[in-house]
Amino acid sequence: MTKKSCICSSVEGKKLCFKTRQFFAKPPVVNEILKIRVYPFKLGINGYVEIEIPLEDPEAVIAFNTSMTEIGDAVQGGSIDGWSTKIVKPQNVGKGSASHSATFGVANGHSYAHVESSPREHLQSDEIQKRNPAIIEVINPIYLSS
Amino acid sequence: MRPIIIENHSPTSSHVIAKNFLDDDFGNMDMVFRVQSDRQFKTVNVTSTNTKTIRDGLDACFVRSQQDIELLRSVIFWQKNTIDYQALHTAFLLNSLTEEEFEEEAEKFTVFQKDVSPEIIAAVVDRLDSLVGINFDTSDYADYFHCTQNNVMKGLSLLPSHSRFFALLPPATQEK
Repeated sequence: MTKKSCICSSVEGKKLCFKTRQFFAKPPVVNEILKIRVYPFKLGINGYVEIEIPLEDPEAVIAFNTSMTEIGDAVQGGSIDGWSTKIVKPQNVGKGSASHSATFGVANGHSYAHVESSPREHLQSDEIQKRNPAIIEVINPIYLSS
Repeated sequence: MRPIIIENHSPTSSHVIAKNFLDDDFGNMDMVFRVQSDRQFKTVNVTSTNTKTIRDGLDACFVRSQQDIELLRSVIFWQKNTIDYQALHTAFLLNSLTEEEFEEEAEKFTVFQKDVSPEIIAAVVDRLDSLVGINFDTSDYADYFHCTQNNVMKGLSLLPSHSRFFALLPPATQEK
């Protein structure tokens, strides 16, 4: 059950569950590696994706050998992108954190999710800092050290 | 440009073609003259330049603006396509379409990923950024170019002076 948030961390599974505040569906593409049609998506303004059902034979079917494939493995990012071989199903809105609601959904079929920008970058973005300049210090003082 | 200053004149009778110009070998010359009068110093400046220089400059400007228009058109078409697809997906999420109907419609939006030269990606990303200044992610660029994110990252790695693009790369790439 590894959780990563650095850029390019990724998970692959048979069923991924996600939480985000901004879901984008992107037009389908024929994936260069799998040679089949996949449905890309993007989770903006913080996303969290966890493997609920792992791939049956990861070593044989995995698209990227750097992906985590165990049940419970997860990635978290300011922005996460990915794809699924099946359409992303209807989503539900629920309580995402102490202060925000979030969209919850699942990606079925062979699915992949990848950290495009880390949460730290999201917190340090101009938009967030304009709204609350002290947010980085409040959330995690370690961010000030760099 | 070579300035020719004509002195002791009245503005209505200045010599537009100076004597030293006529002294040159002007058999194949094609020039444009600019006449500027200065009331304070009571002078008229006549500046000449080769017509070809001006024409080349205007041609280059025209070609560049046409390329920019084409680039912006392509972005508009890309975004329109995305909006149309998202409308379709929303219809599916709202149960206006069955999964089969959605898949059938989604087929029309499907594109094949292709290899794009990193140099082309770097040039387009750089120009697009200077024209619109929107922060796109690597997945957005991959969507725009119909290529993989690895392909996009190879292109962005050619723009090391742009810290914003470089920040989109994984640490291992940034060290190179």
